[in-house]
Amino acid sequence: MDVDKRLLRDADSFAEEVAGFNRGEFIAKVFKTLGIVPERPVSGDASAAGRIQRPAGPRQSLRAGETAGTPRPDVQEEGEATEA
Amino acid sequence: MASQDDRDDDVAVIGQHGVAVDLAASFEALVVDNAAICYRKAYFYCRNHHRAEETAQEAFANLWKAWADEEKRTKIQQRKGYVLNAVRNAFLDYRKNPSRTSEHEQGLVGEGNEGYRVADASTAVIEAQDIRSVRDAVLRLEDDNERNLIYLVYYEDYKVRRAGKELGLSPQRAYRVHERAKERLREMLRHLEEEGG
Repeated sequence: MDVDKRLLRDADSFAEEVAGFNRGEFIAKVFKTLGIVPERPVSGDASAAGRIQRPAGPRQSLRAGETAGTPRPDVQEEGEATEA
Repeated sequence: MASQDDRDDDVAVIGQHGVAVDLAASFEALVVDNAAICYRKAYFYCRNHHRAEETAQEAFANLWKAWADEEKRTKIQQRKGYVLNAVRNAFLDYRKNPSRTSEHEQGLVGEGNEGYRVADASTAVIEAQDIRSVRDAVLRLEDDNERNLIYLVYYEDYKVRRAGKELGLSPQRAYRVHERAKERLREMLRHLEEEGG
């Protein structure tokens, strides 16, 4: 069989295998793991191009380069962990 | 109490043109845009939903670590190839660290259905003798551009030109890479055809 047809046939199987993926739930898990607090909930059926829109401003989050386990004494000690 | 400046420093850096960049906000956008493709690419490697989610999460964690670096951030934002390679690296890291693999998963490795032996972390994720399907053959492609292009074109339904753009390839180069990858796959799959696979 032609390699194109084999690839397309496998791609159909692949699409069925990943059809049960819950995008919204997964995104929520990623944000939780990284300590990022989105201002708007992410819809599970939003398009891939959908973006969370929100005004820029100070809020609680990890700095890029940090993980959820990284201490944040500058915030936690001063009780400034809540959003502005 | 932390000053306003201190708190602003938590989320923003000054970008190339002197504009404050909200790192968390821009990263959120990256996650939202790429969550599904990262999961699917991870599943492409793992063939296990739970492990695919963990692998994709690890990929995002690694991307987040690099996010404060403007040069890296710009590259990641501009090309899906970086995101796809982050998934592959997370998968390889996951497989190289036995403590992160459950006994159940370790038991699956070698049965040929759920796991792959790592041939060489720098080149391939599957041994040549373990190729039993088209997907195995795609994973065996050692060139990042060939593997990612084939994945985007066939499994994510991108046009060759668009896939090439995501990988930083000119249209001409993308078509060449596409043809070369198919030729390699044809060669790898020849023995499966002979066996009626």
